[in-house]
Amino acid sequence: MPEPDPRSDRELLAAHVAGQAGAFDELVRRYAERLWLLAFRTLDHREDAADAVQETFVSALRSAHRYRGESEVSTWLHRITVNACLDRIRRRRTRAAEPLAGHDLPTPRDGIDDHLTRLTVADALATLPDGQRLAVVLVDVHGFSITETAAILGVREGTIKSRCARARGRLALLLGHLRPHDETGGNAGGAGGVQSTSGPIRPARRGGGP
Amino acid sequence: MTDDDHDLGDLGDLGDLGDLGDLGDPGPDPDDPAVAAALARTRADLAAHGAATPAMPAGLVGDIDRALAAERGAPSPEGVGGGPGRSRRVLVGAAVALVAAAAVLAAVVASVTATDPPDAPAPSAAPLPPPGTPVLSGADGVSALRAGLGRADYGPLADPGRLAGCLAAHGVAPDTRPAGARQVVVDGRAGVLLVLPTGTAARFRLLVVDPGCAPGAPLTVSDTLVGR
Repeated sequence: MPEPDPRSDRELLAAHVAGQAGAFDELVRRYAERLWLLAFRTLDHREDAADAVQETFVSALRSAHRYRGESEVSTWLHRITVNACLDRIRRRRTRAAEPLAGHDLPTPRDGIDDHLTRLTVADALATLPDGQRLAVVLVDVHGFSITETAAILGVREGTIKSRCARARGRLALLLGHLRPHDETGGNAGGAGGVQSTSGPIRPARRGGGP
Repeated sequence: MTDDDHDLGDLGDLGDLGDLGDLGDPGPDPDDPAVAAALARTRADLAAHGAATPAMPAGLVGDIDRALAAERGAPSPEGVGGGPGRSRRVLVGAAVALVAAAAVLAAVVASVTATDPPDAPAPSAAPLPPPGTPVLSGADGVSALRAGLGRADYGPLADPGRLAGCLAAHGVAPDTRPAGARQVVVDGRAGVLLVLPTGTAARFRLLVVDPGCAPGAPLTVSDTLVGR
């Protein structure tokens, strides 16, 4: 097995721009798997995820000369991957109202209305709106900080926090850690209709998100 | 100018997508101990989900290498490659088509030196092809076909009028746009490989012409159909 390249990501990208052979390939070795995981968890489809990662590196190769070092190389690559994934999501929606995973996924309401339903984490994630899913996957699954995630997604940190909070609340329901308040609780998609095993639930604040 | 000018346009839509889910409630009250415990269990599930790493598809790095090699304009590290940004599934399809075409192309390339009609004008005294021009032989059929697909290296035929005249000399419809072009050397003879669509997927007309090809002087080096 070859020795790991000791150069930083920035050094590798700079070497690539300077024409040094192999530098960009080292970035591919470093990031292919983690970018594929992000794409897979965003798209829930292995082939689409692989296509998105391939597109990421081709796009990065083309635009490497425009990298100015204002964000980490890791952030830059993840951001390109997010874009590639979102492009695919949009195309799916354009073609047809096709479920993300290519098969029939439960909608959030399905999962919440059925008190006995406990979804797998992957299926529960697939029910989330795109913004929430990307935020919670980057923070809670991939371990990025709020700041890093905000940079990757190009939104404010407060937006990431609120998206994560909503996503976790919805996932808690879908995974069976919280249960709906009662049959007439109304707001199946939010906090107002849910409760834990005891204690009050904060009323929903419709349209009041940051 | 930022690092991400390339991507900002796309990311601008992200807020729209994300906001579709941000219009509702703020989520369960994390100050409630039981809710906090449920959220903690949820985050633990997510972390465990991250730890249960599905295997990256075997060969993905190789696919990326080939796509990057194509993007750089260099021969791919191995086997069949494809143009920049192409779908891996498209690459697989192209691989099948190329393999199917290889045997046919081998016969084509092997016969290139004997196809000029006896009364054809003498080949032009074209300049030497540029460095890096693919050197084709009958034993390298797959690379020969791949060399032309998706390229736009028309060399002496770069002028649209001259290209149109050459294509017309070969009976090609005037609105036909080549699927690729590449200056090549076939068994020591310089020419331009034109990959022409046929209207059938994975089936191309491969036309290799002398650089002096012109109306009334097709100077055909080879002309055949490849693929299924």
